[in-house]
Amino acid sequence: MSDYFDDIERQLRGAVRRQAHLPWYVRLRLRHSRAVIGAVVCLVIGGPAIAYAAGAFRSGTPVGPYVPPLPGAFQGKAIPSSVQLLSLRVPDPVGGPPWVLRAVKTTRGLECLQIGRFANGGIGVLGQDGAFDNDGRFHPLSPNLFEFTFSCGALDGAGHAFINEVDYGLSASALANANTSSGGCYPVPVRLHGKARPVCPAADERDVYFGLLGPDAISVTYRTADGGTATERTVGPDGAYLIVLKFAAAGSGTRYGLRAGGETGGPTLEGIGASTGILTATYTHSRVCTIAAQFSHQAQDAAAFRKALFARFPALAKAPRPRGGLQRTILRSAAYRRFLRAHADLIPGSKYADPTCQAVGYVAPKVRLVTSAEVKTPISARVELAESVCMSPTEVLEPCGARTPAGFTRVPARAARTSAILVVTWKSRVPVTNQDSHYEIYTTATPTAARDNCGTGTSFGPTETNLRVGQKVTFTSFLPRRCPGVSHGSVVFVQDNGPAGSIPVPAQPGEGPDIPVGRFTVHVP
Amino acid sequence: MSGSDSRDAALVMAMAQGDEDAFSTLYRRYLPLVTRWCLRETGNRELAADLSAEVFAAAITASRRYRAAEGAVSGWLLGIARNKARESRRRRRVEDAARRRLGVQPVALTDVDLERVEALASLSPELQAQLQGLPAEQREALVKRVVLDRSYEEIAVELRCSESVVRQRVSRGLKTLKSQLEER
Repeated sequence: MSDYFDDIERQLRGAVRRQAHLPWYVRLRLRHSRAVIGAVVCLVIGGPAIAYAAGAFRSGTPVGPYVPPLPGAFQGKAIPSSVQLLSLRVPDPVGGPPWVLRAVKTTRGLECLQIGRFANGGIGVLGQDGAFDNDGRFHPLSPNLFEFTFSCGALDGAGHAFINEVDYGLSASALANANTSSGGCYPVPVRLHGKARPVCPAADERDVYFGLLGPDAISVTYRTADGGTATERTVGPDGAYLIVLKFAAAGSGTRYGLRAGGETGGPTLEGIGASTGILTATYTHSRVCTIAAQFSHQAQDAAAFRKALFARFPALAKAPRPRGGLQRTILRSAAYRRFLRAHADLIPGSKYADPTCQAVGYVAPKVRLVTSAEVKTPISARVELAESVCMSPTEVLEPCGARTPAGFTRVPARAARTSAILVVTWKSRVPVTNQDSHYEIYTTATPTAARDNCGTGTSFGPTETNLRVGQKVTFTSFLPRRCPGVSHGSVVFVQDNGPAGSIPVPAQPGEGPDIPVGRFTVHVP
Repeated sequence: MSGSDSRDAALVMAMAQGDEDAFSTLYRRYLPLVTRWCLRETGNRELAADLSAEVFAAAITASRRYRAAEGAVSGWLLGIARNKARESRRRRRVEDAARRRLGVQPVALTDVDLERVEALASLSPELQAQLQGLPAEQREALVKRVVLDRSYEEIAVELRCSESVVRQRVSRGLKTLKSQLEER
């Protein structure tokens, strides 16, 4: 026979072998055009089991942002043209639709990752495990849903983000955090508003590792549930990876002291690696980040780190997942970052940092650090007392009457009664156009602080809105009324100018030095 | 349904289950038929070779849907060929969707290949029918040697038997064909 017909035969023999091992719905795709498949799917959509296999679900209520996104505040708003469903399709260890990631760039210079289940051609949450009253439907995720996630990273000079995220005990529904509007289950027993909330069955929980390792990443190797190892190639220009395992409840309780169901993360693998099954990440030019070798050291550090962390922020130790507003505020606060800096030697793995585990391929953004002379400005500050307090969409506290202004949320009465409102204002002399720069406020302890166990002063912020030159900045925060006296404070300006270090916390970009802006003094009555 | 039809139907079913050898048997058995039909339809050796390859690729993807009760395998393959030819005319190029879906890489045609297209197409339907009546091992050896012009050595390696066995099968097959033709 000729070469042509021989070659065709050889190739088709291989195709015969391959296609016999494909699932039926893939073979269906081999046989038919997409249009035909679409028609078939429509015809069978009434049969849940068949539709399930084909990836078709009845659509339910979309999962939207709980607070409308603001283009110039917090994470910003999703840029529609940037929303990209990544090509990863990771099977669930138990079954059902695969897991998927979606990358979203925001108006404030961030890239965020969303995780969910893949069905109906998109990313979403399944109506199971208490989510959406177990309606069995597929609830698409809004690209603006950033709440309860810490999977955003600042873009580097080349437009890449570096994100590493772990979620222990994530519900198989993919609802990242149970809440009163979407429902869902909790990893530990929780009572909210006097009502016991459903606890996730361990069988319906997953340990999920995902992130962006950068443009040089090739693969991630991790330990599988059966003790073996597996290697997954990263996907796309940002080196995306996604690993979904059954919930390993036994080990989760010791992970950084964040209880079962907690999340950790950071821009480098070190931030999460030791607490996960991730063993290595491989990059171009034979660079390999090895996590496992550092594990024993990190485990020793972890206990001391936990002890210090919970001593400073008792709320982190007490509250289960989902972290309430207080915990989220803590983890986002400058105080938390100050704590991390002060305890850098206790941060698991920090002393044993492997250069190959840093943000490989990171390109430092071209940032001109401003001087104090450029940002210095008069600061005014006062303390207000109010029985009722409301919070604006940009988290500015204001006294309010019986009626809550549109767009505001009412602060619980007990917090309002036991606190004073610190109001600090100044005019910004430099523009803030994204999350790469912000202001922070520090206060010293009042004279009564030590006697009344009020702590040794604290910090507030960061400001999380864009600012024009000359725009008035109003920053508010609660001060405890039980600590009366004079408190001194200062405002500083902070610019991000590099990748974050190895910290087991939500991704925080590297920061430049504090640049003094001004000082103030207040009297807490 | 004749015995050979049922044997062919079994081969299609085996192919659907991933049996590569079943595919090869069908491919070699029906390549002349399909190629001849394609050459007649297109009038072009290159297009005929291209279209034939697409027909067999499509047969693989459709093999699970084949039902013996619906007709002989030869009719099924020619039905696929008709559809592919029609689709190719509509698109003004030889349809290759099935090959692309199966990941089959394009193969360049040489002058030898084009001559083979003519040789394959030259087998008359009568001879095709006579060949179908032969025992499988004789038919296979005869087709490889006479139609596909392979050496005894090559065939022996492929069929995992000695050269003398191949010669014997070819000889017996030719004798049977001769006697059948003489009877007509």
